[in-house]
Amino acid sequence: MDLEKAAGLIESEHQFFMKVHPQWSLTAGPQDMELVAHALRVILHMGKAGESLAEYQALLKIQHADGGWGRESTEDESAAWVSAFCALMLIRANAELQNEEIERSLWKSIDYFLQGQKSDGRWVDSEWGDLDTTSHPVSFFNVVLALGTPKMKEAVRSHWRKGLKFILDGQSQDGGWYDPVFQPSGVETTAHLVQDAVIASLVLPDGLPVRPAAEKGMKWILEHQAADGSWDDQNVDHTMDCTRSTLLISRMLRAEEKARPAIEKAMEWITASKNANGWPDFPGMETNLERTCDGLDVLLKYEAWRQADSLETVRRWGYAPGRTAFLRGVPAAV
Amino acid sequence: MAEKVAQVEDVPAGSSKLVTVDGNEVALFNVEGRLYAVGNRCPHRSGPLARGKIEPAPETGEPAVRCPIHGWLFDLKSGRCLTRPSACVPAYPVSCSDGQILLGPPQGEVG
Repeated sequence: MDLEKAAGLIESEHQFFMKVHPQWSLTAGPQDMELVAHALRVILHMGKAGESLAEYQALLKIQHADGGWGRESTEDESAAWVSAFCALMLIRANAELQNEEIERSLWKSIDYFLQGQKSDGRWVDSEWGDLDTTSHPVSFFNVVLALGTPKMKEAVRSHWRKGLKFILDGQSQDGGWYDPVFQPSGVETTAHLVQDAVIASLVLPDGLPVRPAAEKGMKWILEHQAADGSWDDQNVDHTMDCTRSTLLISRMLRAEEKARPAIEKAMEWITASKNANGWPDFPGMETNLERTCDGLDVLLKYEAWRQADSLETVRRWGYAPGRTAFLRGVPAAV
Repeated sequence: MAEKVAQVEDVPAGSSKLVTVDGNEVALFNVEGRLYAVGNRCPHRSGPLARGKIEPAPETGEPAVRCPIHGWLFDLKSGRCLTRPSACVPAYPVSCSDGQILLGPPQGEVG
């Protein structure tokens, strides 16, 4: 994909995203928290976390006493999946913001996940399969181990390993991860697990051996891509998940050239599926704001993948410290 | 009162079709010659059930549709969610007359 075209799309879609600010921002009123987390990720990867403290402070205001967040900002009950996504966005933003209140909130989040983990290493959420649910706190802990304070790292390490083991043990012989209740096709679950939970162990100390699992996972994802570049019957969400997963895994396994044709085909399909503003759940449907955030995220991660600095991709997932290119004002070059 | 929503030939066996009834999206399914109609939007994240795959429900073997976004499963006859029992989609009684598919008033909450 032409990088100028990618940059142009990012610019125009970000303008649309900001135009609909009241629809995703907690500063505007009650919100769907999954959408809020998606929006915060856009802010982060656009390099705007530093100027968006109010968004994060609004997130802190609705954190529950147990350290979690509800699926809706008005809900009293904490839910593991969305809580992990919120905590992940906070810790990554705080690498820039260096805010003490956020750090206190992160400790509350850590405690929420330490308390909620089951004896076999998983976390549960009534609206998500166990594998998918578990991948999110593990992803949060990945970033704690990459960017957190020494005390935070010490607090999470054994729980992280336990959660990661639960995920690795859940991989099928063919390399995919399946959930018979929620995701029998395995596409979204596999895409989530490899990028969120598994692959970071390659760069984190004291991790579990994950290379074989990651290689099998990437092979599975590539084998399940359709001829038109999409995944899961032209599912925009799952196609974006698989694309992002492939960007990260291929970079970390140094298998970029093997994955490049699939990535470029996917980017072409994703671009073609776009509406005038934003992305839909399936081509031809109305724009979905959460999907639009995913679309921006894919473009921003693709841009990172095209950087000459190979670590840029890893930084953009938060698995390696250091200021990312977008914060340093470095344009994509490859 | 039953409302005409499509021609029978528009929904051949093994297919689905999205129609609109009183401003609400309804997903029509033809499962081995039998027609079903449920609200199109999954109560989880508004996934389009008309794009979902049909499969037998685990306990009854009756036809169910799986939301393509996050996999919630819905019984096609009752609209009941088999993944999260507190959720459901409206189910519409379906009849045919003179080659037309007609839907009766929905059972369960609409919208």
